[in-house]
Amino acid sequence: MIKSLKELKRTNYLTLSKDIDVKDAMRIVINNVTNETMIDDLYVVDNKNKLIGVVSLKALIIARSPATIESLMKSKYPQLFEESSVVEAIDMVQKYDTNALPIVSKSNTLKGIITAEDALDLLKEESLEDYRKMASLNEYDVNASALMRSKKRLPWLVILLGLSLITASVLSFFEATIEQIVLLILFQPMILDAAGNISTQSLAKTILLLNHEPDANMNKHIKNELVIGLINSLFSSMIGFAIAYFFLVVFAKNEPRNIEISLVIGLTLFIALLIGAATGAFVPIILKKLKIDPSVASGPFMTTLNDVFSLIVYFTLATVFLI
Amino acid sequence: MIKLARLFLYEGGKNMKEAFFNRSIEEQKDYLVGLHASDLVELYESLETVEKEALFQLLTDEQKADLLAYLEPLDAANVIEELNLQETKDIFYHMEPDDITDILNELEENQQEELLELLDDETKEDIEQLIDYLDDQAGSIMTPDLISVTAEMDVKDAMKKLVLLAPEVESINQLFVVDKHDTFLGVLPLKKLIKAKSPMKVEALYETSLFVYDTDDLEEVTDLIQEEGIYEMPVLNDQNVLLGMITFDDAIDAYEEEIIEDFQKLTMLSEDSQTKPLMSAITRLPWLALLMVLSLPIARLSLSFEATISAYTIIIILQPLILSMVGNAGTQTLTVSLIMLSDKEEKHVIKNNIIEEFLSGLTTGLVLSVIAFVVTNLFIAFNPSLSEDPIIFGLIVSLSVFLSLAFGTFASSIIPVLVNKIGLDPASASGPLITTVIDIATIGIYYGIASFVIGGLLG
Repeated sequence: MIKSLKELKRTNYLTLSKDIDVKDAMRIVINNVTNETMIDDLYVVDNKNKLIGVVSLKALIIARSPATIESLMKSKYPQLFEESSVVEAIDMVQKYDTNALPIVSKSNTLKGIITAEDALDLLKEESLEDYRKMASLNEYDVNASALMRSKKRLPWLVILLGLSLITASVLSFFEATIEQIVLLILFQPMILDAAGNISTQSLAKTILLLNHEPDANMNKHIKNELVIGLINSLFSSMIGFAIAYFFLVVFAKNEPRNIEISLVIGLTLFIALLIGAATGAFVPIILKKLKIDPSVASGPFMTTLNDVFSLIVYFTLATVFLI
Repeated sequence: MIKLARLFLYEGGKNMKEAFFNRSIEEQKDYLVGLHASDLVELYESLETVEKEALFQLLTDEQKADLLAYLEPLDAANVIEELNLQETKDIFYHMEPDDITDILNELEENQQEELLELLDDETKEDIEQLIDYLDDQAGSIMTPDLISVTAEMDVKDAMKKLVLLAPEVESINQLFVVDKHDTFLGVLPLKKLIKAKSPMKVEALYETSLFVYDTDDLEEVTDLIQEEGIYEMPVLNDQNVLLGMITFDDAIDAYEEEIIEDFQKLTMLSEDSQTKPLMSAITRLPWLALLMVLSLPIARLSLSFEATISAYTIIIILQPLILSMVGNAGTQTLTVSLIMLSDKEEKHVIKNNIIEEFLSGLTTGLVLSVIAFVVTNLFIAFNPSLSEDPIIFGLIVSLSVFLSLAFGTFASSIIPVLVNKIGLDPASASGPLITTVIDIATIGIYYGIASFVIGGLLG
């Protein structure tokens, strides 16, 4: 994946100086244009190759001599810097609806251009990248052999196996509780899945926002996500309570404390889902602040985080109220 | 002046607003001249309602038109509703038919008709044609404004027509060549035209070009534009009559919308950034509830192994190892399958992918089962209270990992394909279905093997 525009910039553009007449400018264009040249915009530079303005070919064609390039050029124009990120570049091209944008150095020297075609290709690459990172998949090739696939994915799976040991350790800490009320374990998948799902929803929303609308108001977003999380945790906990109670009454007739167990499950769902929604909203933003790509660490890392939180809540509540 | 303008432009958001209102009206007007529509929108959106109205009054009709074209159609429609008919007419005069159409689509039918009456016949006709396209048809994002020339025209006349019409159209990379019935023949790149010397007919210069039909699927069209890098894609009707073009910037927007839509489906989201929290909560809840209900069979299945798991708590404690490993491997496979389906790969590629995934699942399963055996033994060694038979439980975990991984990857590669075949959307349906299927299978395999081994060796 290309990280900076330095690797990407193209040189298929034309420059003009501000003092020449539009007729001469047109001649320069006609003499220098090739099949590859982007001529939607022509770049006006001074003698040190610093960018001072942009003239659209449209304006140049419409203009009548005598008129200088200076009188035609726009001195307000969008531009990118060599250090700009790829996401920024895609965003700018889209925002300004142009077919090409100039890339300048810090001292405003014209270094190249990025075309809309490049931006669209990058957008495609970037979005595939998001999917892959969320699935900790570091390759995508439908024609790859089985062995190649395994080789590339195994290291990740082993790391994730390590992560699952954390979850197992949490469980072993509550061994005594589990031993006494084995029924609790039946609802563990429901709680973990629900917390994982609510977290994925707010995580996805956050990543979409970070990647596609970088200027969005993050505080408002977090507030909204927490409100959504609160509402849905509440409803889910009621649904979960009902499901658990129904299940225990129908399938576990020997268990006398079905109401108590169902209440613990409901309460756990409420707290665990609230935590899940919050981690989904916060973690990508924190990662981005730490300059880690939010998509990469989110998927499995989040699952473990949520699993650990949920299990601690579940078995702590069970130990307190049922033992 | 240049420096100042640039300072403005790249400060963005809040600063832009402060910098703007700290100046005199004349300076504000100066600043607005030549400001890119996109920055104008950014400034506008950073303002409070009263300030918005004040800014709007400062704008020329042309700038108002730019602003409305760049605002979200719904917001633009709200602005239009506040204006009187003459104001609207003056603004619409400067707008492209496709942008007007987007706004009209947000209004009630009687309002639409009232506003349509304001337009000249040509624009009205264009809009009436555009407004009928469905959101997923190529015609919905095309613009009818383009410069067409006939093959018999001399290049000098073509150039004249270009100079005359250039201000009206979005981009002029190429002229569109048609015969006298408006049937599409090809394109004349501007680069060729400016080099040509009269006398010469357009016929001698023009090139054939890819094109799409107005009713083509928008997703396929944007894919084509992306792959071929076509900046102005001709759009024809079924009689091969040239109707309009799709510009690259509109194609990028449509493309991004699709990407976001796919991503949302995969992650069970069905909202945009404008949705109110309560609405978002309501749209997300059914998924959460459905998935909770889907976990019932897992609980029922576990219950049938109650005897085994209550005798050996260690089984429960080791469960996350197996479930998470199979889940992760399944997600990897699912991702490959979904990208493959959205790329519309050929049948043999899909078939081959399933086979390779299955074989890969076997290989990965074999390696991971060995690792899982070691890890289980270490885990028990560090927590000796858990069990006195680390080898036996290591073997149970190891065998379960192998079998469930082989099954899990196979299911993850074939379920999206099947879902796609029966006409459902693989991105939204596959995730929950696969999670449930894999969980059930894995728990069945794990508890089954555990009961069997324990019954034989320890019982």
